[in-house]
Amino acid sequence: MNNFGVSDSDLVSQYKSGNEEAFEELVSRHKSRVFTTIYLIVKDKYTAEDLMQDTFIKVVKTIKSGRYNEEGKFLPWVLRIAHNLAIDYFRKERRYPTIVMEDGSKVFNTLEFAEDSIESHQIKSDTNALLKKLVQELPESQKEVLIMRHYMQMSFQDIAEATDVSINTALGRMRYALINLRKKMQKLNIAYDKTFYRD
Amino acid sequence: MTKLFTETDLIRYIYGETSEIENTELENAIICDSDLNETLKELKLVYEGLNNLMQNPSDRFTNQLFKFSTI
Repeated sequence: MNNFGVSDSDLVSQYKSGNEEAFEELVSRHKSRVFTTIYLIVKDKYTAEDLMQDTFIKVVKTIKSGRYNEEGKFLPWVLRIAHNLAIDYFRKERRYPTIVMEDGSKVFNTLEFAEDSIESHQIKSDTNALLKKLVQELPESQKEVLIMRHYMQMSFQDIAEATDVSINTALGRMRYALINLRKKMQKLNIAYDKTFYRD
Repeated sequence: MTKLFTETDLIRYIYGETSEIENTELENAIICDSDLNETLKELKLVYEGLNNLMQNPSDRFTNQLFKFSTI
């Protein structure tokens, strides 16, 4: 349910009945979470968009063919499709991350401040880029749990079942992921606290 | 006897997977335990940072997707 009172389930029903705007609302509502889930796995924006398109092609085909199960929740279903496509791509391609900016330039390990930037905005932008890189550098098992819990909003129990481990193992991997991120951020002396946690 | 809370408990708390009773006990423990409070703050910092990593696809892509749905 959203702030406007129309549930995802209702929107899917409307879309099945021919209301194209209902599909647009579903995409607009969930595109960030779907895109981020894919992007953190494949590490390239253009690839992420391709896979997101593949995701919604499957979604549209399933809904229009009448095979969509109304009892399932829409977003978890879409995220499962997206996650599976991303993992399949990553395992097939398996390369070191190369993040390509929109102008074609690549983000390197060092971050450079633009001379005429607004300092706090630039700091936050660079901090985000660095944190994203740190997430992508996590051990696969930790990154998988982190993406599933934080972005796909799966419970630790569901994650444990999906990854075929105990819930304690899933929780342990999440704990290590968060500890690793925090330690690396502290080590790199990221101006994180001031940017994100203003007193 | 005061229950000892672990980092894992704090992670479950941050992600809303603790019971109401656990929440009450944990919030009381945080008041009394500065180390626990500090650990929670650090975990919350990372949590907020992860929230800030949410990104959108390009508008061009989103518009193309809308067009596809009409096929």
